[in-house]
Amino acid sequence: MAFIVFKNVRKEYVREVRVLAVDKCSFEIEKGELVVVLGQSGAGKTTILNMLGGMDFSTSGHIIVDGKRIDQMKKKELVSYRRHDIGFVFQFYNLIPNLTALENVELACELCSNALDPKVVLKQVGLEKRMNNFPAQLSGGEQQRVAIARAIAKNPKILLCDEPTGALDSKTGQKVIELLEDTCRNMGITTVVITHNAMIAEIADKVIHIKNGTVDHVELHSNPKKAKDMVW
Amino acid sequence: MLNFIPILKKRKIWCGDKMLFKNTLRKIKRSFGRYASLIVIVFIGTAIFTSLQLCTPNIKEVQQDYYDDTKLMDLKINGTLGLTDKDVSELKKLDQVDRVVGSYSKEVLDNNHTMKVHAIEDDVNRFDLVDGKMPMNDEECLADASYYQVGDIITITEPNHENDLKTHRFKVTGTIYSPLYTGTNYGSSRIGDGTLYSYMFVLKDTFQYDVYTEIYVTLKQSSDDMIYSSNYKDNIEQLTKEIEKVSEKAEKRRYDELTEDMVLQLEQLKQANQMMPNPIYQQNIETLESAIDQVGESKWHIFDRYDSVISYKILEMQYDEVQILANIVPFFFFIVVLLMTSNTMTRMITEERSEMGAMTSIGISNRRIINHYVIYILSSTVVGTLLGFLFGNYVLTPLFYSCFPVHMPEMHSTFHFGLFIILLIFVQALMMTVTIYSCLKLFRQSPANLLRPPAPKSGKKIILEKIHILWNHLSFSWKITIRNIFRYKKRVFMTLVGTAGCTFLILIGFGIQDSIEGVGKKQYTDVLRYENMIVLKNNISDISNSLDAVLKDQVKDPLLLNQTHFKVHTTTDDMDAYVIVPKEDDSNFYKYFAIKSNQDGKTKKLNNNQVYVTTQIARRCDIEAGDKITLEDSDGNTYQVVVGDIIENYVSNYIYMNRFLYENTMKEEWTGNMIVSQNDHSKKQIANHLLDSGEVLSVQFADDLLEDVNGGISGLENVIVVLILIASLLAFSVLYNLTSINISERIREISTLKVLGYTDLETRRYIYRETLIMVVFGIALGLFLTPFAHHYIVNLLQNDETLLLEQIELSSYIYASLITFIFAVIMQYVTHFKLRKVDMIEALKSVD
Repeated sequence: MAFIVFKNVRKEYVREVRVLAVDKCSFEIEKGELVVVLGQSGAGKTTILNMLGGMDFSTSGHIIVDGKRIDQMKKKELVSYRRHDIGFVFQFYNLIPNLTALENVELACELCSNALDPKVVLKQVGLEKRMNNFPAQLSGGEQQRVAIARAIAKNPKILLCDEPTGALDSKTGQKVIELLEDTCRNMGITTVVITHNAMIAEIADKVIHIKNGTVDHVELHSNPKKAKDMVW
Repeated sequence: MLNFIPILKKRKIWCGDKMLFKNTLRKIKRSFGRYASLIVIVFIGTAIFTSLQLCTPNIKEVQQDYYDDTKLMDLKINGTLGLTDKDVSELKKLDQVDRVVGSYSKEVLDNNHTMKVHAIEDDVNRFDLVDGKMPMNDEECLADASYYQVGDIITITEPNHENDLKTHRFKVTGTIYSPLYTGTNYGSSRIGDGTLYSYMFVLKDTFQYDVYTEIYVTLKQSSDDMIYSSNYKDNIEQLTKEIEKVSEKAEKRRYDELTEDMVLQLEQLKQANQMMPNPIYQQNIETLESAIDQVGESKWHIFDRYDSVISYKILEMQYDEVQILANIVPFFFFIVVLLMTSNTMTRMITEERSEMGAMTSIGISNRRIINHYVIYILSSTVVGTLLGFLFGNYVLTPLFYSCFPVHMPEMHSTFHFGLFIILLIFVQALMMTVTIYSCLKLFRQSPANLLRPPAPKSGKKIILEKIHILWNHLSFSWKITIRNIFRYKKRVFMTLVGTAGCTFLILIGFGIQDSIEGVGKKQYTDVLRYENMIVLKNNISDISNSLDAVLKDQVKDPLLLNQTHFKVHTTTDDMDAYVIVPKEDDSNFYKYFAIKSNQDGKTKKLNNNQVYVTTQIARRCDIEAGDKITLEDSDGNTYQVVVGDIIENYVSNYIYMNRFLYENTMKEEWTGNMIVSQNDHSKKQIANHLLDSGEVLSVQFADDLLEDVNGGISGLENVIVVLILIASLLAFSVLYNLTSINISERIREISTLKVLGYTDLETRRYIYRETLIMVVFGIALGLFLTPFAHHYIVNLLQNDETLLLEQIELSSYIYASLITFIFAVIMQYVTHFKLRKVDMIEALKSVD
């Protein structure tokens, strides 16, 4: 069985009106793959990512990660799943403003027993000189690197990135994508990137196209482009 | 096509206001917690301010109305030779007087207590009939409702077998409270043991005097003559001068009236004797001369309310005390209210910066936007102020009043419209300033800037980090907590103020209770250690065989002593004290009286040169060991004695000296009038047996006295309940407000932590740890500050008669801390649900 399996997953929001966000969604991701989930705004990409990351419950269907049924986990188990297996990167970085870059990474490391050395990870993302700066003193790209370092340092099984370049200019964005690519290739962490930018899709092993809350088609690249060769 | 869409013509002035108003209403509905907390904050501030401000005027009003209704006298005149109808008519001629009433009163003994008998008057010194009906004949009376019930029989004896009253056995037909005796202390008496215990009113005809014992005068009232006002005092002073003018003639008239016949007779006798000397004439002349001498001096004494209405002076003192509190406490609360509301509004406006940006960008004027926030805050403050004012005026003030130990009619608070309007305008102006200031601060930025998220506040290294040894040893989460504390200074400061204030109020409440409740116990177990006090009918120089037989098997180790009431001259006026002289200062005396020096706590021995005085006397006279004090007996003779030391004592004032010094100073032989001893039988048995013997005037038991002391302060519990109530409201509103602001301000931070895999418990710890640390510091600050205020308040509360303990019990410190901490934890628990509901996905998806 594949490392990540989505089988007939459905997600309904029942508020004032019933909204079907995701329906009949099925795909598989292998261990160590770099996957891009591509789709227009409102297609349901983030919902899929949230369910995969254990931040939201699915309405029905199977979500299996490393042989475990995520869709059947209770709230408490989900916390532990997020804590040990998942690393998150957001569009707006979400660093803790009152902690330095290093401390932001340390904060995550405190949570897991097999965490990586925060200083080494920051060096790896190229921030060894800005370690003791606070987020407000860093540029957007640098902040996103700290966020990635924070996610990697937990030594997760899966790295989930929600529009990681959404708030960055193209050049900085490219650097961030390069970093994600390196992380996936060198450390072997399964990486899922959500984006509406088709350019980024070119570097993925697998591109999952989402339309109207369901998988439109899956595109495989046997020979993906390198991030640094991308033309924005 | 667009041309066909009709253009809505609106008056420019209303443009956008309707929507803004709708927006305000929605805001109130959506963030009702915040809206309610604003109301509660203003409510508390206003309630406390109102109740303390109105406490004195409201009670004064009750007192004034009571005095007006009962036609309480303004001046009382006593004459050494009695007063006549002619005196009354002369006084009536004075311009400023309203009523002049000649009346009677007499101090008598009711078994073991001194009580005063007054004549019922219709025009002056009326009273409230509590129960029963007015007396119809000489054998009925009205009695003090504090001690008697309808149907009781009062049997009195007049001193020296006088017969100024027709009957000595009265049936109580009604119970009353007289405005002459509103307090619990009725003052001193000239007979019995020196204390006046109760009073009764009988029909005027019951007295058999041929002249009046006193004349009551009331002043022509004008509305400016509120009690205690300087206007009133001036008028009284003027009237007193006028009466003094009348008195000169009146004194002489009365003297002449009494001596006229005798003088005439004397002159005739002297003439006869001159013409025809005769030893019988001579003898008659001498008899007449001494009779004229015996008439004595004719002198009027004029007393105002300060002298003759005991609680008049006490109440004035208490008004001053409350006024001091009223000046300090509300100030503290206004600061808290100001801080809290400004914090809430600033936060709200900051949270809605993008909304404000949107509004300015579509062209709504700044003034309109400010208006719509002003409506939000003003509507909540109007409600808060009104509710607070009503609660303060109609609930808290009567509650404070019930703690005043006076018998006056119930309080009917009136709505002080003027004060309310002033308060409302003041609070509104304050709130508007806060809101407009916060808005304007934001409007200084361009609309475009407002639409972007605020630049995140930069983190900062704190000084503590420079101390590497300390900083490096802290765990990671502690580092964060400490840095956060330094980061959110304003919030931390308010948490400190709020919790310190809460602890302070609770501890002050308990502290005052400690100070007062401990007094009785200390006095009747540590200082005075006898179990009973027997007042004898006659002064004796030794316990006779017959008295010994009466005491035997009833009491143990009797000690004969003399206790006499004296006035002590202090730096400002006089104070009451008892001089205690034991027959012998043997071990028995020291067993019953702890004569312990205030300085070193060592027992002092009575000696032939010095007296020992209790703390209050020393304080009021401002004396130290070695100084002299002046004593005045009831006949006006003064004596000077040297003070050996100041000794511990809490209730009443005592001066101890030995028999030798007493006889040397007073130039009279010592006699005992009282026995103290230990019980050797049941209290009831002792009392019955001794009183039946005919040798004993009264028996009092120490544990009853202790209960009396404690009973007098039962109203205090209300004060403590009020204080704890206020404190809890303060703690809840401050902590709720701060915690919810904390959560909403850091919602992204919290969500990030949750996504990272923080459990609920860990998130809670992360957010609450800093609050709890500040709560602990706040409690410590409160505990530290309270004793100073407590010292101050205790000094205000104690009077001539009681000295309060200055120490706050350890248990009170513990209770105050615990209660505050529990409030804090409850508040955390309430906000904890808010924290759990934080939707991490929503919070992280977008920018604010």
